[in-house]
Amino acid sequence: MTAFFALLLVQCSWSYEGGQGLGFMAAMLALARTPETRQRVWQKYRGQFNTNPFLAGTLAGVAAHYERRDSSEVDRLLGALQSGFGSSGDNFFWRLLRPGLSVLAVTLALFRPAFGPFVFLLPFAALTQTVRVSGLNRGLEVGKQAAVEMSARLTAYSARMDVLMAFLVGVLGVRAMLTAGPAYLVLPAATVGWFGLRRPRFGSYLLLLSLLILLLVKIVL
Amino acid sequence: MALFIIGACLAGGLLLLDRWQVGEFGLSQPIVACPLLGLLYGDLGTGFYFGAALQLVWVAALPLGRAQSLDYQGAGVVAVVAHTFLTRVLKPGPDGDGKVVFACLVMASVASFIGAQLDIWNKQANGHLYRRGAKAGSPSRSTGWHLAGLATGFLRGAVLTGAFLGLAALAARPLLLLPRFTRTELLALALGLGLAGAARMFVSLRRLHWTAFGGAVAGLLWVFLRQ
Repeated sequence: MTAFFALLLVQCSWSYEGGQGLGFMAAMLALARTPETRQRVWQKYRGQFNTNPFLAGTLAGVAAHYERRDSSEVDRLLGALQSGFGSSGDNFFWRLLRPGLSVLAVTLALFRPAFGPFVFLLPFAALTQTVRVSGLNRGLEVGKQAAVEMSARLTAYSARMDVLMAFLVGVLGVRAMLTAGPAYLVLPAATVGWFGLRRPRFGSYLLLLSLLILLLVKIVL
Repeated sequence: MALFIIGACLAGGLLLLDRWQVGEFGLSQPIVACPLLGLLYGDLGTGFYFGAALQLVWVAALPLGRAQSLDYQGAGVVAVVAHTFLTRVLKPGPDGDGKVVFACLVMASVASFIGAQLDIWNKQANGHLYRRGAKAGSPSRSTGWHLAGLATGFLRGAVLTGAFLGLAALAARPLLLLPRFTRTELLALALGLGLAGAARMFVSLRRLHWTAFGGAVAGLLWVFLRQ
């Protein structure tokens, strides 16, 4: 339980120099059983560390598994796994799950507003925290096999979610136009956005620009 | 009003810890944070409105690796808090509500940039904590420096919320000069941009038939539900 709470805070001191270094150290300290192990873990895990926050649990479990047996393998394993988990975790959680649930939640919120928060929050929190806990437990149990299993699972889910998301965008498109009423505003905004959103930062510029254009139109008319 | 400002800064600071410092449960996402703040201030409808409008605008802004993403969570918090503040100060009535919503959406988009810059400063400040934590004399001291990150994170959210309340106070009177807007028009703009972001991310020629199928299902559902 202490390790789970430490993992919830794994990023709270995130910095450009150490990444999640201190957070991962705190999680490893929570997993250390004896004062000697605690001292050894503290000496060893104060360095730079960075991975996807939800998959840090799996890596902490794997590292603690080998710390309790043969700690010579840990450095090599963590070095190899943190960047791989960083990219596959970011791809699944940030590129698919968050946008996917956002599309679903907004679509349903246009039918019934109260659905939106629950449809986003419940699956997102449940899935991310389950991955955190189950990855930790499985890593403690079977070591690097847990990382292999987690990686395979994320790849399989990612492939299925792409199709589901394409479907949901269609639902949202029609629903947005029917709900928002003035389709003459949804369509130009979507068209300009499609060409303008080549870089994700442009979302803010485009919102400002659209509001400004609407303001000018209102003043002129 | 002083109590409202202090409360809003506290609520903003706490909610925005979920952005990356604590748990990342999704509480700070606009679709959740806006209704939560709406509930707190007794205007759930406005919370739902800003949540649905803002959640998708930054759908393509991905916090991948070490890249700094825009602070769309901060944007949601700023929108609801500024709306509550302006409504209490101006008491705009149904005619002026659109003007307040317009101003809040402008502030939300600016807040996404300012929040991102505050994020960078927050991470730089955490660099000091990291250096001290790595050189500390015991495990508990290292952990203490690590947990100090909660304070810098909270401060970041509180400062962002407070700064935009200040801006809202300055903009309160001039925004009454704006032309009239309806909530539906503003929602349509935000949804259009969100739709573009989602389409850019998920629709490709290979999966276009799935998107068309989704659109057909939504259309049929609409016809069916209307009868």
